[in-house]
Amino acid sequence: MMITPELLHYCSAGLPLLLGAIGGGIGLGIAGRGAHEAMERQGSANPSIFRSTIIGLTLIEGSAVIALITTLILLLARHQQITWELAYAELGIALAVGIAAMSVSIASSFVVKAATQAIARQPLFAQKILTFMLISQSIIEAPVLFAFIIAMIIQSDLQGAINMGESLELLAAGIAIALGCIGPCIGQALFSQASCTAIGMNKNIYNKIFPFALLNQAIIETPVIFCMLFSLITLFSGPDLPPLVDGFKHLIAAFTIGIGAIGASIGIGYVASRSCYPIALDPSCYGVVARTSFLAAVFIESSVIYALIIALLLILSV
Amino acid sequence: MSFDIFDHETIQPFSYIGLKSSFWDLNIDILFATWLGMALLVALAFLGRYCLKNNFTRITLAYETIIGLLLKLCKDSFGRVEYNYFALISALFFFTAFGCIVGVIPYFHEATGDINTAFALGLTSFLYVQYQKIRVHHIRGYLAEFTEPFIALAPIHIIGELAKIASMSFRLFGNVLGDSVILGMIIALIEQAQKEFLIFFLCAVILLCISKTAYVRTKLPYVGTVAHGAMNILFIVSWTQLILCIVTGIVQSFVITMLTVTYLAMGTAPSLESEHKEHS
Repeated sequence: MMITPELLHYCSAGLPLLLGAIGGGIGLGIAGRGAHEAMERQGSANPSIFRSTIIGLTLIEGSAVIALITTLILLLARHQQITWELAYAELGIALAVGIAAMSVSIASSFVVKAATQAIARQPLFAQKILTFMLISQSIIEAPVLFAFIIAMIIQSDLQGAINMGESLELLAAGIAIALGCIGPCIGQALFSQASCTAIGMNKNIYNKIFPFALLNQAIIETPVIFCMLFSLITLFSGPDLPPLVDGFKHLIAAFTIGIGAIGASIGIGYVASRSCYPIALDPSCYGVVARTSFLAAVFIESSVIYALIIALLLILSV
Repeated sequence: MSFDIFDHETIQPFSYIGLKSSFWDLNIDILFATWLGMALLVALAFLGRYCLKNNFTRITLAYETIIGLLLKLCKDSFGRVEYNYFALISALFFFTAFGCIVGVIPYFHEATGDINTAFALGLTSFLYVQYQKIRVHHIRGYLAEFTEPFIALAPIHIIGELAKIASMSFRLFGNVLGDSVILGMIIALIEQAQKEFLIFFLCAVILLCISKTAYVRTKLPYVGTVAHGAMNILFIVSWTQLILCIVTGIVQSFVITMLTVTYLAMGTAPSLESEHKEHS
C-alpha cells in the first residue's frame, strides 16, 4: 500500500473523533454503571441520583463534542495541495484533541460514579455532593480546552507550514499537550474519586474537604498547564522557516515535557487520594494530613518543573 | 474556514518617546472590554447603594444573598469571619466574573481571555498572599517556612511558589479562551450552514408560514411542530453554548478566588508547633 500525504490527512481528520468516541463511550459506560450500582444500594435516593447522573453524563459528552468539532474543521478546511508538511502539522492537531478528549472523558466518568455512590450513602446531602461533582468535573474538563486552543493555533498556522522544520514544530506543540493530558487525567480520576467517597463516608468534613480538593486538583493540573506553556512558546517563538534540526529539537523537547508530566501528576494523585480517607475518619487531624500531602505534592511537582526547564533550554538555545 | 484567535488590534501610544518594543503595545479590544466590565461593575455598585438607601427590599435581598454566599465561603475556609481579607477577595471574584461575562456581548472579547489580564490577576493574588504571610508571621517566620524539613530544600519551595503564579494565570486564561473559541466556532458553523443551506432555510420559513395558517384552518399539529423544531435547533444550540460560556466564566472566577482564599488561609494559619501547644 502506498502511503501518501492524502492518506495521512484523512487519517488525522478521523483520529480526533475516533479517540473521542472511544473515550466518551467508555466514560459514559463507567458512569452509568456506577449510577446503577448506587440506585441498587439506596432505592429511596433514586430521583437525586438520576438527576446528578444526567448532569454528569452531559458534561462527559462535552469533550466528545469538542472532538467532533475538530474533525469537522479538519475535514472542511480547503487546501490547494496536501503536502507532507501540511499532513504532519494536521497530525499534531489530531493527536492533541483526540488524546485529550479520550483521557478527559474517562477521568470525568470516575467522578460521576463516585459521586452517585456518595449520594447513595448520604441521600439527604445530595445537593452539596452534586455541587462538588460539578466543580470537580469542570476542573477536569480544562485539559481538553487547552488542547483545543493549541489545535486552533496550529490550524491558523497551517498556511505557514511550507518546510519540514516548521511542520515538525507544529507537530511538537500538539504532541506536548497530548502527552501532557494523560497523566493529569489519571491523577484527577484517582483523587476526585477518593474525595467523593470521603464525603460519602463522613458528610461533616465537607467544609474541610472542599478547599482541600480544589487545591489538590489545581496542583494535579499544573503539569498540563506547563505543557500548554511549552506549546505556546513553541508556536510563538523562533524564526519563520527553521531548518530541519530545529524541528527535531522541538520534537524531543515535546516528548521531554510530555512524559515528564505523566509521572508527576499520577504521583500527586496517589498521595492526595490517600490523604482523603484519614480526614474522613478523623476530621481533627486535617491540619497535619493536609500539610504533609501538600509538602509531598511540592516535591513531586518539582520534577515536572525540571522537565519544563530542560525542554525550554532545548528549544530556546537554538 | 479559518478562525484566528489572536487578531486583536494593538496601538503603540508611547512610540513618540522611543518606546517601540512589543512590551508597550496596548491591546485596544481587551482594554475596551475590561473598562466596560469595570463600568458595569461600578454601575451595579451604585444601583446597590441607591437601593440600600431607599429600602428596595427585593434588589437589596439579591445583593445581600450574593455577598452573603461569598462571606460564608470565606468563613468556612478561615474558620472565622475575616473582613480585612474580604475586600480583595470579593473584588477579585467580581472583576474576574465580569471580565468573563463581557465576552457574551457581540463584538466584544473576554477581558480575562487575554494572557496579560490573566497574568495580572494571578500576580495580584500571589503578591497579596505573600504580603499577608509576612504581616502575620513577620519576616522571620515567613523565611522559616521555606526551610521546613531542612534548609537544603529551600530552592524547591521557592520554585514551587513561583510556579503558582504561572498555574493560576494560565488556568484562567486557557479555560476562558477555550470556551470563547468554541463559542465562536459554533457561531461560525451556524453561519456556514445558513450560507450553504440557504434554500433549505427558505423552504423551512415558507413551510412554517404555510403550516401556521394550515394549523389555524385544518388543525394539523405535526407539520407546524416539525418545521418549528427544525428552525429552533440551531438557535437552541447557540443559546446553550452562550449560557455555558457564562457559567464557565463564573466557575473559573470562583476557582481562582477559592484558590486565593485557600492559600491565604493556609499561609496565615498559626504554625504547627503553636497548634500542638494549644491542644496539649
